[in-house]
Amino acid sequence: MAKRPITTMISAGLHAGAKALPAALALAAFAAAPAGAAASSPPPVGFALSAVGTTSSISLHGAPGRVLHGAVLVRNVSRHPITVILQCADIRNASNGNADYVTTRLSATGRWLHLTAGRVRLAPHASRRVRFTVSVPRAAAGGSHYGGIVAINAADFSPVAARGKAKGRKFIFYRISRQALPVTIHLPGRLSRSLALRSLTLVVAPIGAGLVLGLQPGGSELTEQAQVNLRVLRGKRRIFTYASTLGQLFPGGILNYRIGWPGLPRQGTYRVLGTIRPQGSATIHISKTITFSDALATRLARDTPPADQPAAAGTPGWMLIALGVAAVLLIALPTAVWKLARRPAEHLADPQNR
Amino acid sequence: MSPHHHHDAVARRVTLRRTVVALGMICAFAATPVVAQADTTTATGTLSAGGLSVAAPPIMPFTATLTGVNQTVTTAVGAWSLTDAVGDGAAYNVSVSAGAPSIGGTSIAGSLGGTWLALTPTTATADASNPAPASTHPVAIAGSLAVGATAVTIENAAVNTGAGKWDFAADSGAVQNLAVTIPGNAVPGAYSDTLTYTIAAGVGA
Repeated sequence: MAKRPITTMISAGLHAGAKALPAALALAAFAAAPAGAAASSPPPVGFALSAVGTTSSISLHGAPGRVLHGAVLVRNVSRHPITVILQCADIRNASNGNADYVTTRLSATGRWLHLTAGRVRLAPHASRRVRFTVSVPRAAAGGSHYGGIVAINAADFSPVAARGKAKGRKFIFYRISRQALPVTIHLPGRLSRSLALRSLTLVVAPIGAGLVLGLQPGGSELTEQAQVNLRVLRGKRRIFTYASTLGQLFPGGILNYRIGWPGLPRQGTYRVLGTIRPQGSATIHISKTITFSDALATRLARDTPPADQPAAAGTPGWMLIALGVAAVLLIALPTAVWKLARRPAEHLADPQNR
Repeated sequence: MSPHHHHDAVARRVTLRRTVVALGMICAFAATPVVAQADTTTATGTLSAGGLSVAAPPIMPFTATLTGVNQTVTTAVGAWSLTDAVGDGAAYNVSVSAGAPSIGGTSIAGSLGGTWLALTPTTATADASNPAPASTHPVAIAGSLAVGATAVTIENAAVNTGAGKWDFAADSGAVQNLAVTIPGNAVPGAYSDTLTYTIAAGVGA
């Protein structure tokens, strides 16, 4: 898969900056040319990962202490030989719902999975079936357990190796394209879902202020989706409303769902009201008071660059339209007056009217 | 036989010959489809499911000069694409995560904070080779999303949508959808990070 490095240079404003600038420019020039060329069209996809016997996800039924079997198919869809890396993954919650496939330091269901091959070399348009097993621990709880199998083009990692050899190219960003297959292991036991709101805080970060909902999905199976409807009040004045739907939520882990604060909050207290309606479990009613303290305001002013402030809280759309109409009128009015002023003179100048 | 009668006879023979030839041609044309119908061939084949795939975008490199205060630099996200060749109409999504930024191979995640990148997802358009209705495109998550070690979903395709190949245009002009926050106390040097794009089907029941 074609891939170009992303390079970010940060240079100091004074002496160090003067020293760093030539290097920065050289590096940026090196990196910018291919990236700019690549930006016009997406790179081709080199391979496809699919489940054998099913379609886009794998579902297995078993019992504690049993070993389950399955297989995936890796196909080279390119005209070139390709090496695909296969990895087992834990599934945890992405920050706004759906699966986040974690392949390092496995600690959950990903540890139950074992692939017969971790690296597959394929000729052009060739395919290979790779078997896997799921060793369900004897102490595994009943219900559904979620893991995954992730595939990556080995070429995505090759610049990392090159970075170690070539000192001049060690300042590189990378992009990796992954394909993941979810694996659900169903064990006997009662299925249940729950969702709890553990915290609601107003946080500041370099990207701006935001509300963070600390959500904890529980039970023994995933929650398909949850509708979030909030309104934030300062006194009786509505500051903003928010409506969205979270993707699939997996039991066991917490997700910190961030809702960006439009504009800048002012010091004081705010009331957050609303509901979270998870599919298949009880609705969460929210009625909380949050405080935007002086300390947070100071930190926001320090951490958030002025350029990062959203402009949305400024001029409303209707006012922009009104200003546009006013501008047109301002241009049209003097023109009309000027034309009217000229009309009698033209009338007198006409020889037929003399 | 007078010359006049001889001429008439020749003319009749020519006319008769032409009529026979014309009738023969008409019969030949008429018979063709009958022959074709009598000799049909059945074409058979099997279509097997493909997979979900994503081709992550390049990101435009940039330079910045430290100012002593925090600053945000925006940069352009290149074109990228995703393909749903599974054919089962299952829902899927694309998520993005970022590795810890590093300078000279040393992680500096702490100095830049947990989320120093913010990405604004864009709308997909059907690839020229994709006959799917435009209305069935994967849906971009609205707003600017903080990207960090924990993945964030940027595109969602609901059940029975998002089939085929979908393209995401490169940023152009003033539109630059990746914001990078640089703290005022950052050290000068060349920084690097990895953006990982993952496509996966929704987990089945």
